[in-house]
Amino acid sequence: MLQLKEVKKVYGRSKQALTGVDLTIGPGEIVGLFGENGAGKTTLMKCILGFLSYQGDITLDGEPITTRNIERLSFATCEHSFFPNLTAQGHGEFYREHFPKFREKRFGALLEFFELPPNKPIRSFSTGQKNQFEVILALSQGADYILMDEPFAGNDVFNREDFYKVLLGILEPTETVLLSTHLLEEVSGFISRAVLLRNGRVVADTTTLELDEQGKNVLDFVKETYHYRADRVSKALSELTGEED
Amino acid sequence: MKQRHVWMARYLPPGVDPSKSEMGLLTGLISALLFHLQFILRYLSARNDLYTYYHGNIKKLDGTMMPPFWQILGTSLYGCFVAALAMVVVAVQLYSRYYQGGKSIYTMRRLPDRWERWRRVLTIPALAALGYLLLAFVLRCLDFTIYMLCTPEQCLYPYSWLELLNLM
Repeated sequence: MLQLKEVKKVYGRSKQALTGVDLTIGPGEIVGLFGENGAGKTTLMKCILGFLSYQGDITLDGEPITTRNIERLSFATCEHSFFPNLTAQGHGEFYREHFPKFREKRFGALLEFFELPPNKPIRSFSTGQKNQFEVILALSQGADYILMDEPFAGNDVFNREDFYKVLLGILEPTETVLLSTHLLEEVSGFISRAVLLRNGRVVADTTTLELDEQGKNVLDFVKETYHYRADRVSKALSELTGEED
Repeated sequence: MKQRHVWMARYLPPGVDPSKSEMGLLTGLISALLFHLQFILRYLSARNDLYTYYHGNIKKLDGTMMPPFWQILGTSLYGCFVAALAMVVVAVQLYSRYYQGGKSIYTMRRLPDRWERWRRVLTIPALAALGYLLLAFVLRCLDFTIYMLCTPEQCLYPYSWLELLNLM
């Protein structure tokens, strides 16, 4: 179980990125992490992974995250964490050597499914292919908790849809995904829980089952929580064009 | 890939071409050796000053002495020292590879072996720096041997053998 208690992060002297996040993610959950730009999604993931210093507690099955258990977390990011000059095959060898639970079979199967060339440096891939490869690595590392930060930025819709299907098909019951994305509608059928961040704090946390029971979808839930004003655009346009009601 | 390149690749950030790194280190080595040639030139010039040419014959000048060893040595070993110092820059460059074309530093920081990312950045430059310093020592010994054996005994700077203590 991944547990965050009162996690706070301040950039510089005063920029509060996280203002006390409490969150518990259990095995097998597929959690969508939503929020506007600057809400703290990426910061939260980087704190979990230990890339940023923070205040508060982050534990994995009661243990702080250190080099002893870091292999239980994997990370796919739109910033790309692969080695651009290394081939896919080279990555396989590197991961096999450093991550004892590396899923060789899954790695090979996903490379084949997405028709990624095994012997070309990743830098020669298209943006979409690079994103695919980034996610493939995160899924193949053998981690229990897979953190994804906008992993499909730049991929076309068919590509993304393929990925959601593959993800649902290959994930084992104990594998947990924390997915940060703006593609609310697309992932709504894929996630089991939605967590909303705003100004560095969790403002809503619900399961998709609860939403179903209330007859809502993820997009409605987000709009509601954010107090989205649907008439905002039409009002602004009217003011700009000088039209009167 | 050659066996030594396979070995080198294990001590470089993933994706860094070992043959290019090897070429860089060799360039440093050759530059240091070329720079060191000034010792030979200085020595030959100083030794030449011990003699004079008279009617086509070489005649040793009376009372002339070779300059002390350290004076002939001058800056000839600086090439090795600069090459060794340049390894600091190489290490920084290698570390910056984790930030090029993405953020592979995220992968390196997630490795169960916390030292791996440092091992892949520091090992080759540290070994190369040691190698360049060792080369400086060997060249200094060699230069001293040349100085002592090729200079006529009576022209040796007094107490030149004391330089041995410096070597040690």
